[in-house]
Amino acid sequence: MIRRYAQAGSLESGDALVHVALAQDEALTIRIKSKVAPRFLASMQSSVREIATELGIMSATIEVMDSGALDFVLRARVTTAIKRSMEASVDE
Amino acid sequence: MSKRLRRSMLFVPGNNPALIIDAAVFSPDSIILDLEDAVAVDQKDAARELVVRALQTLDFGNCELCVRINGRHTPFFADDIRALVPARPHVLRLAMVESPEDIIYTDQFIDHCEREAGLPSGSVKLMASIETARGVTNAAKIAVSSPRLIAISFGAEDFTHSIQSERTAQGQELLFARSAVVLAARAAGIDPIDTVYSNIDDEPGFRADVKAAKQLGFAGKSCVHPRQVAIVHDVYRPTSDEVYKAERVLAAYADALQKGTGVISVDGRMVDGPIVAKAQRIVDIARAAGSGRGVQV
Repeated sequence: MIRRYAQAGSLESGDALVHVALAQDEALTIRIKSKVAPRFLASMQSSVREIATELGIMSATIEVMDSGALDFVLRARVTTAIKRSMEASVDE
Repeated sequence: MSKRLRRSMLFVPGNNPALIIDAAVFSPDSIILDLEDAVAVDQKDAARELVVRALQTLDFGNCELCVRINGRHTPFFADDIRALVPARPHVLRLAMVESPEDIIYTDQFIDHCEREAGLPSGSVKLMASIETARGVTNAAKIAVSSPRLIAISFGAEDFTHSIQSERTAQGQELLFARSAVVLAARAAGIDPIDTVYSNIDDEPGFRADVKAAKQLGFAGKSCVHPRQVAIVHDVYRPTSDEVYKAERVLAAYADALQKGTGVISVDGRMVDGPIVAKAQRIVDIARAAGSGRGVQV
């Protein structure tokens, strides 16, 4: 379950910056900004959705700012961002 | 069978995708994906996840794949090993090893993770990084503390801090420690790997440092920049005369084995076990460097 906002990755070339936040509704919303989106958007969305599903996340807003990340990098950053967002916040 | 060469071990920051992807292009003998000093404390989780997926995904060619993990007494040690063992790096390089117990404990932990991952015991090898006065004092015991151990490396920056000294260009403050690491490793039959040279713009200084390391008996050098790799290989490359003599020794030895001859000599010099082993090492290095005709016994 998403408990708080979290992010992982960077805007450096070859990387992706991934933000994960609580969903406004019960849906899993994925937004991707990438120069290669016209060609690879579907495949990137599929990777993000797959990682979220593996981690049991059905409801969240995941935003990816891609700087040319390979698929394994995207998956790593999404995994880290979601795991961080599942941790209790400091004041809990 | 040829022994794996570890002339150059190139450090790559574990949280930098571009550098990880490019590392094999420079053809180091070993790539060390670093989860320790190159990664900020609040990014350890991200780097670990990235390194695991890189190991599962990328083709690093013929490079040996090492991951430097955080020391036994850090909060990251257990998570590093649990995550990495199933991804099967060739070697885990453990930072800040000070005693045989550090290695024995790590060995047992890796063994447990190998069982959980369904891997044969000993699949993942270990390298001990000795970086303190206490570690150097215990180097001989550390070197024989586990059959999983394939090398020990020396870290000069933390070492000079631990003896309350400063690192100099001449390196007098490191001489005893470097020699102690070489002797411990060589006596145990494993590879001694020398410390990094941090000034990446000082190529003459780096070359001199590599020559000194080779002369002391180190099998190789840790590198912090890709352009250091070619310099290390150049220093460790045998001369054509050395390769020629070594190939003659190996050919004579192979001939003697085939004919069942006892004592052999080459150029009037008796050839015995150590000379054959030294010749094989020279040919191995020459072959890795892209020269030599590749006689092997």
